[in-house]
Amino acid sequence: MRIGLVGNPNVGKSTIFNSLTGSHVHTGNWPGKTVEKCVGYKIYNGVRYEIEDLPGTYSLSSHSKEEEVTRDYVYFEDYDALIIVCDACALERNLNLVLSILEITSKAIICVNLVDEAKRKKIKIDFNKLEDILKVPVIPTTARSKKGICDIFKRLNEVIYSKNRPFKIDYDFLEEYLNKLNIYIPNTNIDKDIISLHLLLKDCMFLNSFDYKYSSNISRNLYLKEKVDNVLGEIKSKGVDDLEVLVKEIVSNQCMKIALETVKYENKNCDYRDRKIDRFLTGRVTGSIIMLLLLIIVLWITIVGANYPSDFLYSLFFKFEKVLYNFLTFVHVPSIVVDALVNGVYRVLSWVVAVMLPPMAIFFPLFTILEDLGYLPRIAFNLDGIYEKCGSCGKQALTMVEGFGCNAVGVTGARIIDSPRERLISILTNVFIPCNGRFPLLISLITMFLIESTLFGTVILTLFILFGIFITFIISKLLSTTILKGVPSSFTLELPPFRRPQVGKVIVRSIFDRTLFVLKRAVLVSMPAGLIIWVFANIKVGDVTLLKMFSNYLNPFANLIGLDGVILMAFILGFPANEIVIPIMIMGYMSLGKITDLNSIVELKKLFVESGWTISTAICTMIFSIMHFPCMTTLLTIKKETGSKMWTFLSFLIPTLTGIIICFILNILLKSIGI
Amino acid sequence: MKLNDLKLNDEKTIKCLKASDDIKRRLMDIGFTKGVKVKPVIIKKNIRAYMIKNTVISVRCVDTLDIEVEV
Repeated sequence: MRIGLVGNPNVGKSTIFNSLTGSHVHTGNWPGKTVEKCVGYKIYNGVRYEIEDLPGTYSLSSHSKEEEVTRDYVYFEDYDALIIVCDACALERNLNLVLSILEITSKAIICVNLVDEAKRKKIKIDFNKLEDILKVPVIPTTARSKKGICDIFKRLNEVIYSKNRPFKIDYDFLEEYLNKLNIYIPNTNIDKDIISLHLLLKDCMFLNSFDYKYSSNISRNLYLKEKVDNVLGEIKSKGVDDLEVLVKEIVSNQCMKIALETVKYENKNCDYRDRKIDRFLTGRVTGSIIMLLLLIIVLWITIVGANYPSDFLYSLFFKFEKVLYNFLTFVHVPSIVVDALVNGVYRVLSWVVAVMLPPMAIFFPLFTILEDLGYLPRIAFNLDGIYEKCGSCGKQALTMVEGFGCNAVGVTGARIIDSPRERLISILTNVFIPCNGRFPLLISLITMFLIESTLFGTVILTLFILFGIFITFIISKLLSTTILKGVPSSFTLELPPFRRPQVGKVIVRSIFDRTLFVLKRAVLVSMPAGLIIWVFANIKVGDVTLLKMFSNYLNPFANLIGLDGVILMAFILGFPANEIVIPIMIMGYMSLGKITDLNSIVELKKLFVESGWTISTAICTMIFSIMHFPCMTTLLTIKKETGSKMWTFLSFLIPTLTGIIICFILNILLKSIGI
Repeated sequence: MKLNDLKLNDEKTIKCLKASDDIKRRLMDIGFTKGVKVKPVIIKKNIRAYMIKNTVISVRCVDTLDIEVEV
């Protein structure tokens, strides 16, 4: 049985999905579109239900790729039933989508979620009356505590086998005009009134999809077009300026009527608490302070919290390295291959995992908690003003927050931005946000050369990050006045009510997801990288390793931008994963054949200083770390999201050029004041 | 009276919705239609948040320039 799960954004649809499917979920893509498809299944009473989670949408008139997926699914897919999830506290608005869907199919269950919140806000809903009016089962649920979930399954059969006629929206005086066109429409599962309506509204996308599915020809039929224009003329002569507005008003009025009959608000001031909190979160001064403090706190928790697990993982991998080495030698693998495999491939792999995994396992749960809480849209709201001036929109702020965890995740997150132009801006500038992989380098350098305490070091790190964010604004503005010119799109963002996040579940699911992601990336990317790095460090040309040769070759250019050949080489070889930049530097300076860690930060500083580092080198290195090409995973993700070689190339070029220019200027400035 | 001129927590009914197609559709889907009560709950220079149908939606001032409310 195929069941589609639809609903407005922010109604707890994912929670319902998780409750319905348990842990039996797999994600993929909708064919033809890069939108995540989440399918889960559950066996209830011997029947296997396949539940497909569709992107949240406010109505069936789609605005973005994601909403189009939902719209096409509802209209044209062969599902057995739909579950429409609604927010009990916002029923009237949700009814808009509900009525639009019920017009098309009566095989639907209305799941009114978050009833516990509605109870708290003293919102009373008459579910029986609602069921009478809508003629489909209406089930109250509290997905967080799994209340009502069983009822959904119990009543699914009712609708799957129902022969009820769909709910009819009363289009008032438009009915007679719709009837004039209905005679030309073939018999299908969809009510003719709706097709006629789409004809009058000239919704080409819908009509094309209809023709495709039912092998008809209503979108290109010239005779029909003439009739449509005639009817439109008649409607206009009745004083209707804009048909689309009228239709939406009719639906909206019906929703209002239904809501009046079924929903009672006993507390007029039920959102008083949320508004008070919002005053702090969005105030001009308080809002900025809170955002800054949160940034520092999240960074600090991530950095400090990741230290012990990273060390633990590293020593674990180190122990296993010896075992691996002994085993391979024991089975008589040639020693050069052993060297390449153990000191090249294995070392890089284990380094990436040890350094990457713990911070991600801390950062993303923190991020998800903030998201569940409802705070993130407030960030987008606060920063929209600046983004608008840069030709973009506040949602870019959200992709940047995700970028702290991992740039690739930030790039994928740009899907929430509707305008393709603004999505590209967000994708191209995401790399200026240092990801978890770059924190160790940044914090180490700050601790070694600037300030010793971790706490103040985090504050300095925040300053560097703010600089990176500032550059993001500049580059966004530059892009939107040159190669990505266009008008700022309209921007509507819902500020959801604050909800208590389910900390336990969030942490478990987040850690699990992130672990898989890192491990997958580590394998795909670090292993070949490890081999290449080993080759560079061990193959000699004459007397000198390839590594030495290239770092010598790069030295003059690197000096111009305040770095040296080894540092630049480390960034280049660190393309697969930012985590290995420092170990490659150590390898370079000590002319070793394998990446190594030094046990203490004191030793590391000694090595760097002996190799010619000054404070200026450290600062330029940090800036270059924030402003250079994206890592391999991010670049591949950009290619996948944009589908364009050109934009991928630009996403490589633009940050690198920016970094080079800024480091060049910085180097001159710093040297001139004698650092 | 224009929507953008409403003061904080002043609830009025929408009279008419004039805007470019794209923005108009989006606003209507989110609940801004004739006859609906709307109340500004957060006011900043370029963007505002409105309480509409018991939900809070933020919209840029530049997108709501031509929306009128009943006095």
